[in-house]
Amino acid sequence: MKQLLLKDLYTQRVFGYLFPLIFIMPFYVSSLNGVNHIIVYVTYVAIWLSIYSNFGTTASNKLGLKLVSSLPVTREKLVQAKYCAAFMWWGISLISYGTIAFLIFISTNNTLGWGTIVSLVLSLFTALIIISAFYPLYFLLGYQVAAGITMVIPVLWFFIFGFTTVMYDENNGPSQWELFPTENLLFCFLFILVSIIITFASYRLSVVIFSKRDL
Amino acid sequence: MENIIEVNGVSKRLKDFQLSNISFHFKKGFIMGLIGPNGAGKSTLIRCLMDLVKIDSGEITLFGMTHKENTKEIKQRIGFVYDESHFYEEFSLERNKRIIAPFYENWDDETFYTFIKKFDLPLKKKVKHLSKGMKMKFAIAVALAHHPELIILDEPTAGLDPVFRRELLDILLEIIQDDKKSVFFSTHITTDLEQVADFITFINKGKIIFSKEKDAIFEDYQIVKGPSELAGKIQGLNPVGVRKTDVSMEALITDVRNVAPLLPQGVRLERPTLEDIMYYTVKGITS
Repeated sequence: MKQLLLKDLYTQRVFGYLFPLIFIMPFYVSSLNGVNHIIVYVTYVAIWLSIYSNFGTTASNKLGLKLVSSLPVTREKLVQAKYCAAFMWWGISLISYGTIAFLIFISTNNTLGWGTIVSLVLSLFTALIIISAFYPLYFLLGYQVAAGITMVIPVLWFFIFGFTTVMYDENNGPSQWELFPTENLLFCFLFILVSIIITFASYRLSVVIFSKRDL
Repeated sequence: MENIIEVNGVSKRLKDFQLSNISFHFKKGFIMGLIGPNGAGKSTLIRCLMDLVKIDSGEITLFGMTHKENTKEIKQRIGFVYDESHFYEEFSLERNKRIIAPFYENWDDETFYTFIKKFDLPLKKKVKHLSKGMKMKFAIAVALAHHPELIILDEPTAGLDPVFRRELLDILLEIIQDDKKSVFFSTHITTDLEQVADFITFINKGKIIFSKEKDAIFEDYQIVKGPSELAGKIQGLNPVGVRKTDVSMEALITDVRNVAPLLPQGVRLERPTLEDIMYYTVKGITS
């Protein structure tokens, strides 16, 4: 497992790691207005890093999977590592948020918020749900199709939330983020439970698909 | 002696190709060559051995185990060389090594760097900037660096210059000096096998034609040459293949002990090459 995680870390493209830097400017502006986007950022970057770590054409993906499958590792472990890597990418996403927050603080003295522990946990499980949609498609149809379909989900979700937030702001109503009941522990527990069920079902499906696949 | 590979009744149907009822075995401490024309099923069979392709029926055991039982242990003991580069093209050789090495319990950096030096490979160069020969050398260095008991190579000599081909064959011979090691490799360059292989498995259209000791094959087959008028008589002896021109004919016969006494006068017998055997088996009777 450790080797497979290290492989994903090593093979992640530089662009994958640098991508979060595009958030520096919006974050800086947000920090001036006292708006906190940590959950959106950490969730989106974790999803991005997870998906982008598999970047490639159908042919190059097949070669990559062929190489790893010829190494002393079972296909089940290989799939398992992909899902476990989601936790690693989420951690890296959180660290990159901290780095951006620190850079903004030392250069402008403005501080970015860190949210609550519960909201961070929900961010992790939200990322897992999206990644659960990606991997079965990835093992079945390859990166291009899977990434195309999966990346649309968070983008649409963030767009809808962002749009309705603006609408509520104009009407002086609560933002959609505030409507997300992070204080309601029963809701959080149910959300985590649903996320675990979806992730497990997705993992089993990916194992079945990949175990039968000819490389 | 212990069988390192046992393939029993393996079948696999792909989109436009089928491996049918493949059976053979391979003993420890030897070199076995897998020959066949392009599209015969060599790479598919090797992919089955590596569990990259899932077989529909039959059984494959390596070191007495099936992949279902212990694929991890099996692959720890195999050094595998692909027919094309499967490494991370954007990364240097050193970085590729750093990705692959942790997977092997017996990975030996000293052996790896010895081969890198021997093959004169630039460790800092990206894989995509290497020639085909250099990529193959790197693949061999990686395959040998964890001291595998079985080395499987898929068309390792294809597209290589004669100097490196010879060098590679010498390396393979060197490997089996250790009688615990075995080499299984596919090729359509049959002259390579004539130099180094102990056993030959011949596959055509997804079926095994034979899997025998090399010397036994040459005892079984003979080339018959003579004037074209004798072609009819030779065809009556059920040859593997016949080639006829206006003035002469050439045929490959099998079961030499029984057939040779029946040959007409005026023909001469020659030892065939593996290429002859492959050619006549694939082509059959042509005129």
